[in-house]
Amino acid sequence: MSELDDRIREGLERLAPRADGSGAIDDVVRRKRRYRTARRARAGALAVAVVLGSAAGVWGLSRAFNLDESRPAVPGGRDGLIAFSVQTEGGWDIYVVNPDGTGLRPLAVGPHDEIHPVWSPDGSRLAFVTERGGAGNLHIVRADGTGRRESFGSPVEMFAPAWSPDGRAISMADADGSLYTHEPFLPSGGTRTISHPSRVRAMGSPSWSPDGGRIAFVGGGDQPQIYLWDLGAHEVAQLTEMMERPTSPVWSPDGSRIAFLNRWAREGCSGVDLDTSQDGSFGLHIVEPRTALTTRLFDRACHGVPAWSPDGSRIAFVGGDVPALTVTVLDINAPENPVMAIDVEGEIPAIAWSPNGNLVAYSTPGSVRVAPIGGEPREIVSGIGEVGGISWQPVPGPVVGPTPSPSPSAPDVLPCGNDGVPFLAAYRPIDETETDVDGDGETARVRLIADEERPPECRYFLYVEPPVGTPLSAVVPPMEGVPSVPEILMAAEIDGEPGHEIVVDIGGPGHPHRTGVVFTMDQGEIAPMQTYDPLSRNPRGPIPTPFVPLGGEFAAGVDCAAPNLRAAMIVITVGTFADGGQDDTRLDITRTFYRADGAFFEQVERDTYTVSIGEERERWPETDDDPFRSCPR
Amino acid sequence: MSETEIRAFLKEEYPRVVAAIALVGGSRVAAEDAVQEALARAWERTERGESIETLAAWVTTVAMNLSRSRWRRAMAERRAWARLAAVRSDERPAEDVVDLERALRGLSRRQREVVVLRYYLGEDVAGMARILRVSEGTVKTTLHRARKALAEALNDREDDRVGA
Repeated sequence: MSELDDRIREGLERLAPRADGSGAIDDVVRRKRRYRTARRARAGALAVAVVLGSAAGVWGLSRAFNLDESRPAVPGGRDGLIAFSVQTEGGWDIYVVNPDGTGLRPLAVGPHDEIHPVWSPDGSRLAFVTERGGAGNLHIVRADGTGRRESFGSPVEMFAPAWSPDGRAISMADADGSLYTHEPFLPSGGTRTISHPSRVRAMGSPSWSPDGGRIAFVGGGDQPQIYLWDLGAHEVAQLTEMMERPTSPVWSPDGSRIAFLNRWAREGCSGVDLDTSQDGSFGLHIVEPRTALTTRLFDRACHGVPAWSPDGSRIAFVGGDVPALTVTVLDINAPENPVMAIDVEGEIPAIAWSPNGNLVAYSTPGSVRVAPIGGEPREIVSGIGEVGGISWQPVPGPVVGPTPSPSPSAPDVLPCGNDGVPFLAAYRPIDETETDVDGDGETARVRLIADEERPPECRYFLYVEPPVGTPLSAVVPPMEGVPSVPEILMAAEIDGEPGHEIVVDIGGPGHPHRTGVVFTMDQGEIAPMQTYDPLSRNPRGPIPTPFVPLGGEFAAGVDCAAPNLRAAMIVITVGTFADGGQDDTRLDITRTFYRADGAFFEQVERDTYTVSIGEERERWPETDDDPFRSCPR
Repeated sequence: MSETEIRAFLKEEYPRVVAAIALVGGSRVAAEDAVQEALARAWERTERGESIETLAAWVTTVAMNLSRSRWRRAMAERRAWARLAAVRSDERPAEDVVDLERALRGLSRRQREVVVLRYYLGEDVAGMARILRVSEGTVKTTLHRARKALAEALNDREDDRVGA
């Protein structure tokens, strides 16, 4: 053992925080009870839906939430719906309520966690995220609760989505640092998703410029800064410099400024525990996108997301630090004297402005409150669980009846085989591997996933996650002869050129290499090109046990590795026990060479040789020779 | 799986698994949240009739996946901020440990995972591959790169101090 190993080991022992499990049993029991409740809820989902959709259900919910129907309306009266996510016994759900506390009802409930509600600019639809098993899915529902549809998925959690000003696109980031814009309402009925074009990893929710031309986001990993994604030029540029830990950029309504928080760890804000910087300024800042000039408006603000008033003259934000927090509103022309500061305790409040700018809604532990600027807040919903995000309907949109905007043709039910939108309903990971699938020197994750709510012929998806950029997905064609759940046996890029074909060998328990699929990857899309059945081409028949590893990582498949090669050569390697299966110490290896191009896929050559089992090799036998001699030149 | 088994896990395995997840993710609160959640899921699964071969390995795998979630981490910290504020300490770790912490932060998430699994939990390559659900080759490559990066970072820090 080297000195370095000892140093790492001893350092980790000293660095590791001490945890005490003696008090954790109550938490574990509570969580486990929640799963049991959710399981039961799924069994009775239909009955629950009927009850919640009825007047009696709303009444019952009002009682359960201690809603006081006789409470007088706040100034401003009915002014759009307030949507909020709340933790219930079965998880997180989204409810809506009028600003005067009436009309409380569920908008999105289910066995998964429904979080991050955000109204569309015209108020007709609500976008939100569901989380299940660590995967985040973007959903859209009409303001009346109908037409709920799944629109986009990520294998990891997603931050709050952001609508484009025209309501045609939604931008969102996920916990792996990917940032997308997604168009769910294309006239064709399909969807389109593009990712930002740089290697900057996004952290947190993005914000659109009012003209829809740019998206502000925090990115950069260990030393984050605010970046701007210019959608027209398809470029990303860094905006701020030397900020310690900027978070939550929000564009002003006139587009001239971006508000954000800057914070750091040990001498600054609690709960920010990765950064060890000792200096810098923290608090509420604004930066001008045109000049990058940064100004600090308020010197103590650590948490939450700032919110611009609709006319852009004021900012509401969470002032202070845990546990002494305030819902603060300041005039950007006189930031030294906040026009409102309401104490809240215990949880970081979420904040939203009313469309007319007269009211602010915010959450406290167990309640939703509405306050006129400079006036006393009123509790409009109380006795509930923890409240997450809050969004105030921008304009009073239609609450009952169909709301076709922005695209009447947008389908609510996705057809089977919609390659662009996999696994949104019931994502289930099947298998995964990591490899450089596009020859750019970066390792990507290749996942096989299943959407259990789809028919078997389009249930399985290949999902490729490059380190940067948009994940790609494609339906795996039906795999005849694979009796149960398939698995990835190999995935490899095959021409060393970014954006071309990859080959994925998919089999099942006891059926290695039963069916393989060659996918093409090009211009941000992936599609199955050709299936092959290597065993059926092998004159000696399949080996009786799972493929015997020879020291390499892949069971089959190598590439031509020829730069600038337009067509790819795929080598499928299959082993059988020698002497017709009698000699279990040696394998007969059959190599079959295929030439793949965008237009065709053909066998060009085959040869065989024998190797001894257990022979340790750093490389596959065939790579010792010249397996690429048949590569097209 | 019974409550007795859960309690036994909490007593014997929990502190070390939580510490490992915290070393990877940087937050003890989020690590505790992730491990408790994973344990609850394991319990629920076994009640549904599914079997879990090695509870500690299963919980470590699931907790590592859960701890990648920024949202979950944020929620966990929201719940615990008040408690954190009460127990925050002014104690600073020794300089060499801070060096290691910095060096760890310079690694990718996956590299931190293999370092912690190898050097803190004592897993071998096969065990790491099982927990991370990747091939052994990937583990070896990742560990090699992580170790090299740590060596360079720690030596650089040492040089800085000597030269200062």
